[in-house]
Amino acid sequence: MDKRPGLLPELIIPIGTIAFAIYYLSTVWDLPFQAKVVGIYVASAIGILSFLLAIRFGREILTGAKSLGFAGFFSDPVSEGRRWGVLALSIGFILLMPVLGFVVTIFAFVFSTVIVIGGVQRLKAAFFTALGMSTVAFLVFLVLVQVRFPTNIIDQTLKGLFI
Amino acid sequence: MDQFSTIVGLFGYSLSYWWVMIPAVLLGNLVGAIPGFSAANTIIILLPLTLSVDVEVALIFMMALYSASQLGNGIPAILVNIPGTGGAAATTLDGYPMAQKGEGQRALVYCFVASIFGGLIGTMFVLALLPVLSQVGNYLHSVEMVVIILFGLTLIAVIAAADMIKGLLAGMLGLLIGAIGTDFIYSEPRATFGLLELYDGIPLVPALIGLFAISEVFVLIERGRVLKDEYMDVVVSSKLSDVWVLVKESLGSWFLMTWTALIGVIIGIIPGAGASIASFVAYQQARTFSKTPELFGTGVPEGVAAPESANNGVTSGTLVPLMAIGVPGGSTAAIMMVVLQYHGVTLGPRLFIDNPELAYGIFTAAFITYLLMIPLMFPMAMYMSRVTTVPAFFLVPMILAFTLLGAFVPRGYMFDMGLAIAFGVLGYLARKTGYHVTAILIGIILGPLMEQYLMRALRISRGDVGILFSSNLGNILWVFLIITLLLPVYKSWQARKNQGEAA
Repeated sequence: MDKRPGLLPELIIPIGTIAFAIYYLSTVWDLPFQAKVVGIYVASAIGILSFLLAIRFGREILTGAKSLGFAGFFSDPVSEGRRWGVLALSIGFILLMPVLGFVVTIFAFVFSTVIVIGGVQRLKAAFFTALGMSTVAFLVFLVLVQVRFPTNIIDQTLKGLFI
Repeated sequence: MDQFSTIVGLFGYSLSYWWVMIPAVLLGNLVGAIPGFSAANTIIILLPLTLSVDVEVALIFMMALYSASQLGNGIPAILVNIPGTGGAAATTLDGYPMAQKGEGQRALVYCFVASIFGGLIGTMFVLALLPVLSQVGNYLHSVEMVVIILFGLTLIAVIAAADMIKGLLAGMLGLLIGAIGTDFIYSEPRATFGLLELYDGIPLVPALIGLFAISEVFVLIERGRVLKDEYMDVVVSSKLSDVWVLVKESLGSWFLMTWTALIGVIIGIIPGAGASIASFVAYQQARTFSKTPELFGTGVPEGVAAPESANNGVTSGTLVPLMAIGVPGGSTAAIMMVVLQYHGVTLGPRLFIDNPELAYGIFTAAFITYLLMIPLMFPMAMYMSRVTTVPAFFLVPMILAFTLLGAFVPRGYMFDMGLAIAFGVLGYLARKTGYHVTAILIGIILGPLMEQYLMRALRISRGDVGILFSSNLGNILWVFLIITLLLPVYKSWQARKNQGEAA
């Protein structure tokens, strides 16, 4: 098995940056000079730096210092699974809040995140952490400072008890 | 003499409002520590309160809350690598590495001492030189601001020192992200992906939360807790009495705290500039003039003291133009102005003659607030530092839930929560592959400000870049900037030379 660190992960940010710079220039190309001057200078700098980076990466591949792969980027499968799980839960948190309301979404999110990271043996801890967190968030964000989060009938009823 | 005795009397008068200050300090610390909240939006939320009480009470409450929130920003920056606002972003550079190696309590004490010391120095400086300082804003125009922001941007190069190409590329990416949104002169949308939510540019709070908090969470999942295992005993065995030893130790950096506080005051006076610029400039200057610049970024207390002292110096500075000429120096000052005007207070030079209690009182209230923070904050440092020992399965859900909610607060868009996650993924990729997230953030924070002032300058000169070298003060600042850039090069050359001679 190839033990050399993989180069491909290091290419993600430069390639993304170049793509974004090209997109940026395409949106400012027809604008007056002052509206595009910073974009042009910064995109030029990105071009030069990416070129220098490409030379360095090329040399690292030719000398065999790095391989063309993802070696060293991913951690152990358990941590990796937890990380992807937490990312999916975070996206779910945003998508579900308008549907489930504020309190239920926070409770479900915190509960399931503790389980994903700590394992099912932490059921009791997950429940009380989620309960505590949703109570504090409810009191701070909805009762005390009254931020306009998406709410449902449960939130409104609970809010009615305090305001 | 009359003015002097009035100010002395005002200290006692401000102290009599301790019952307003203490709850304001506690609330200010809380809102400062929660990303997304700030003194400005808390004062907006509490407008019904501040509009219904006496003007003195309202003013003292707002001032105490504002001062305390600046200090509160640094707490999560140190303990969990989450700066409450852009002003605390520079604190993470050394504060978080200190927390990771069991020096969380030390970092917090340095943060509190620097904040309080910086706040006190800043207030005294403003009180002593108010008439002179109120004129500073008149001398700092677009050209001078371009150079001042360049001081902060050079920090990208400093951070990039370990891997120059990657660091600079990260900084450039940040600058380009910062240039998203409509431009300042023609209001033409740029790189908005057709999203209306991006027309005002990239909102800072979701970017901050994503790059620091969410990316940190992804790392924490793997590591298990903030604190490295080998330092567990250090934190668990720390005592309350250690705080006073650390206070004494941190006061040894009084000179650094003094001049970085003055940097904060001067930058705070300039309308539109603020704690973000001040803290990065202060950090960069502290590093430049340090005897051990190579240790910055690895967890040195001076790297915490400098930005914290500066962003608390900003607090007094930002109120100078408000009280002296009726022009708010920042968003919090602007909201204070609304409250004062509602109470029938006319801001400007006449205020110092007609109502000196109010004009000077705001600064004496800030002074007393900082003094009250001493018994309120220091005993908490030890307990706060224990946060670093909390296992990831508790800490991660709490950080994520609070920061995602915090991303929503400033603008009220669900979109901003998604943006925070997108920045989180970017931040994680950057950390994993050696591109510095702080360099990206500096670009995002300072890029739009830089562009704004540069465009104004070019607009005035009709595109002639020669305007950047057209003012005396600007040219003096250019010289300082060049010295700042060349000094580290000279120092390392001298160190190499000395090493060579010793060998």
